[in-house]
Amino acid sequence: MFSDITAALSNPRQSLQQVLNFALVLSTAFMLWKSLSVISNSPSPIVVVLSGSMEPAFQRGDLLFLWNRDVGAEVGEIVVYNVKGKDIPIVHRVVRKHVTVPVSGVEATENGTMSLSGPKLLTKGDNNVADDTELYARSQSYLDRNEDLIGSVRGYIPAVGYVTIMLSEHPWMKTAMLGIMGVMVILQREQ
Amino acid sequence: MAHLVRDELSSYSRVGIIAFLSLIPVPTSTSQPSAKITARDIQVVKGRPHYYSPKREEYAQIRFDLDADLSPLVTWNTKQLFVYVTASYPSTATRAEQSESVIWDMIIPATATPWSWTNLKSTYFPDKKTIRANKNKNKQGASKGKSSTTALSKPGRINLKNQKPKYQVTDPTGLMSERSNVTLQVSWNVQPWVGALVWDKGYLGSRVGSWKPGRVGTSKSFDLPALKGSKPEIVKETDGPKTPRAGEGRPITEI
Repeated sequence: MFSDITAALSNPRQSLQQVLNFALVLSTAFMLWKSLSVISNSPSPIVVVLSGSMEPAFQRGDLLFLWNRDVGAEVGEIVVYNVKGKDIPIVHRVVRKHVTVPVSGVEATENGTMSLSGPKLLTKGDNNVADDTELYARSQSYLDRNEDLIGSVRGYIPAVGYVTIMLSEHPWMKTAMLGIMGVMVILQREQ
Repeated sequence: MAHLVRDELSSYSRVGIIAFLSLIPVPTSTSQPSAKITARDIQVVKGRPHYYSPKREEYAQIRFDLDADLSPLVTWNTKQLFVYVTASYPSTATRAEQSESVIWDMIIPATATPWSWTNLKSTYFPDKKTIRANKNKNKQGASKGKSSTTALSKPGRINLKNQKPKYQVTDPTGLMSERSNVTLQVSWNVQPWVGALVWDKGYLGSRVGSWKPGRVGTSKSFDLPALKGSKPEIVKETDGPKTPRAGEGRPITEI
């Protein structure tokens, strides 16, 4: 009878520990992601290739590691950029770089400080016939290094990111995976 | 509980170590790649960026000779070589910054080895497509394909004479004629099967600072000629882009 009470008492503690354990797994992943983001100075340090426009170098589902601590960008470099008003990052190669001279040589930013305007870049997918002018925002014909780029590709792991594509294309898989993960964490304590 | 946490952390650090190791490039072989480029026939013509564009700008078309041996770059971890020729010129006469544009590029895929992925796949999971492709390949080999990469005797050997550029050079100002100090530069990007991407100008380690100029494959500097078929006083106007007079210039150039 006494043992029954202790079992009932210890159970909530156990399950609480399991919940904490699960939270630890999630927060560790999040912290790793964020620290990578700080190290590479990129809002998303790892991206998954979504289109075949850079084939045969990058296929759909390949994982790319980004680096965003360079001041400039060079022709030939593969960069990831966001088009204004769209939320999908695009991975393409820089094919042109122009250093333009504004009237005064410097431009005032919103908060009043003066800054040199970044180089103008034109990109193109290796597998595309034409350059990206059509992809850019309406009034835009070049990318700005400081405003539009979120990183430059430095590392490559093939195919691993395909899981992410599957998860985002079939949302039920996400729920199923979270469920399986939760069940596994809880079952782990049983032995 | 404690050991469970430790196990998780060590599995993460294991993944981290693997990810870190993947960023270290494979040591390059001892023999260095070589490249030699010379500009040949240079023209500046007027044209439009695309058919429906009202904008008219000047385009430089630079033909070139290229003789390069990049075969030392092809190792077991080379998925492809991306070779590109750029033309660079000072942005303005007074400033040192260089504008740079790609005028020609080429992808040299890795050679098929008995243990390469595509070959393993076609050996163990053959499908109709690959069988057909193999047949075509045999046919091509018999009829001798002209400039396809499969016809190259050795992957990484490039020998081009008076090559027409793939892309024309233009500038945001729309002016290209009579620019001086133009150089051509051969560069390459080694795409690995897995790991760090390597450029001729260096890789991650040496890229944290500035990007060094390429070691080999720079042409002598040359000047762009005056606009083809125009009077000298028109091209001497250098105060920004202008709407050209009606009837001036030539039909749309191909892009």
